[in-house]
Amino acid sequence: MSDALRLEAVTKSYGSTAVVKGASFAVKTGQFCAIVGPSGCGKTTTLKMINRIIEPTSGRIFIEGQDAAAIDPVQLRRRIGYVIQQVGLFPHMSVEDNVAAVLRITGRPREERRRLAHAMLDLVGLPASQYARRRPSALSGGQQQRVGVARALVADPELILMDEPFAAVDPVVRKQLQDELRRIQAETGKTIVFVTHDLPEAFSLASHIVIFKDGQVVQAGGPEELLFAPASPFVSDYLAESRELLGLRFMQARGFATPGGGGVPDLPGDASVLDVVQALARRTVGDRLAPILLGDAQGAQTWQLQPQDLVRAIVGAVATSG
Amino acid sequence: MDYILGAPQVILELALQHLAVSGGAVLIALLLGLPLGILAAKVRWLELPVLTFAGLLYLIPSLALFAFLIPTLGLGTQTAVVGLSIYSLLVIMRNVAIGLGSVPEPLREAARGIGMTAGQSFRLVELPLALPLIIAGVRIATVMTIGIASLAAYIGAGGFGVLIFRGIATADNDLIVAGALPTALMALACDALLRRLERRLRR
Repeated sequence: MSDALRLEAVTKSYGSTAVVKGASFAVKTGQFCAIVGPSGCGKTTTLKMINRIIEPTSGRIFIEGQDAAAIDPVQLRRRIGYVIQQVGLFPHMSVEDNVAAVLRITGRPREERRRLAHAMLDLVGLPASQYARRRPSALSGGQQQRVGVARALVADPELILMDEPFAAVDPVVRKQLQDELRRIQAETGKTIVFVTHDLPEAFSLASHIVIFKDGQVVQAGGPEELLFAPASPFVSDYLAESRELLGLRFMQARGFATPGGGGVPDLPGDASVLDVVQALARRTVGDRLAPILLGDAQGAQTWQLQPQDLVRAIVGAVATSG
Repeated sequence: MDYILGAPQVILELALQHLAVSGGAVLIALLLGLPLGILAAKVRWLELPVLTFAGLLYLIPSLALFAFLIPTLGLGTQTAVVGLSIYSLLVIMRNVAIGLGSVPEPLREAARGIGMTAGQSFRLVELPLALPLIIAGVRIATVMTIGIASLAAYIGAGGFGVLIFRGIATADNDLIVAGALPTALMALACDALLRRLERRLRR
């Protein structure tokens, strides 16, 4: 029962149309789980069934081993942090009051609300001394979503749900927010379930990825598992589309190679991991496990890359891409 | 103008009557319109019938409405107050319903998602966000009511209408102006006051 969250054959139908069909997966305590899939695959519906914003048609959902259907929805939601794409900050309240609203509704004393709200604002990179009194409308989109994250964290929930939280901000800010979220997750050790259609985002943040297609879970596992052992052609194709985005393209292969080796270099010294993979693909099948020589045309410095180095490089690229 | 300056105590007395009739009417409309507007916003299928009914009442000419009410309520202030409140009711009710209906869906979902009860969501999120529109409705209703309240003099409820009707009867323009001018000023003053409140809430 060390699962923070477990779904068992969860289904949601509207009339005769099933949006989610028998979805089952589990998230361990402290795990960062990303739910990915093409639009309309049922990932957001699934997320919203966890805090009962949407009631499942059938199946069971367990939060820390407790059947969610047996918990009063209001009490359940107070145990779960929630961040939505549209942020949903209350425009008539200050930033501080927005964050503290979560504590206000459970009747926590004013002083404590204030202290915790300020601590959370500091944690998400919005110093309370500067931002607490502002209105949400005076913040940028990225800053607003930071407040959204602070609001989700402030009541110290067991689980945090995020529905495409960074989809509406520009790429540069999105990268910053992802880095911050990774840091916050590492610092707080919270279990996070994160819906996104952005694969690089999922691979950069998550330790566990659940892939949805047409309302069904097609595969769930660690990033390496999905990349190197896709369960179906769909998963393989789905990930292939974004493989070049996964950082292979931006990582230099020689960082994983050993200096030395003679002969004519196969690839330039600054070749990326993706270049190496593509060069190997061009070789004949029997030749693919032979080492690759990296070096400049002058042959002044060379590096030799073994197949096991390449695996290390790809795993490294997956673990740090973003 | 001579009349106004010549009889300030009469003007003051009429002003108080006028204000009491108008204020009472708006107050009743607010007390009825707020819950009805909330009902219309919360129970979706009720919205159309409730607003249509209020709209139909709004279409009855005010003198005819007073005439309808006299057999039951008699002549005097209470008939005027009840009659006038019917006109304010539509405006207030509609603005309450529209105000509550205009709260964006993501905000409702956020309120629910962070664990607010339905009551907390209404009190802490929906009502405060609807308030500027509700006040705007009260403002329109007040200005309108102060204007129509001139007719209340016809059924013996007093107010500035007394001067206007007397002026018409005696073909005395000075007297008509003495009734009309303070009516307009009262409407403008109340409008300014409520506008300030509305702006404060809108911030």
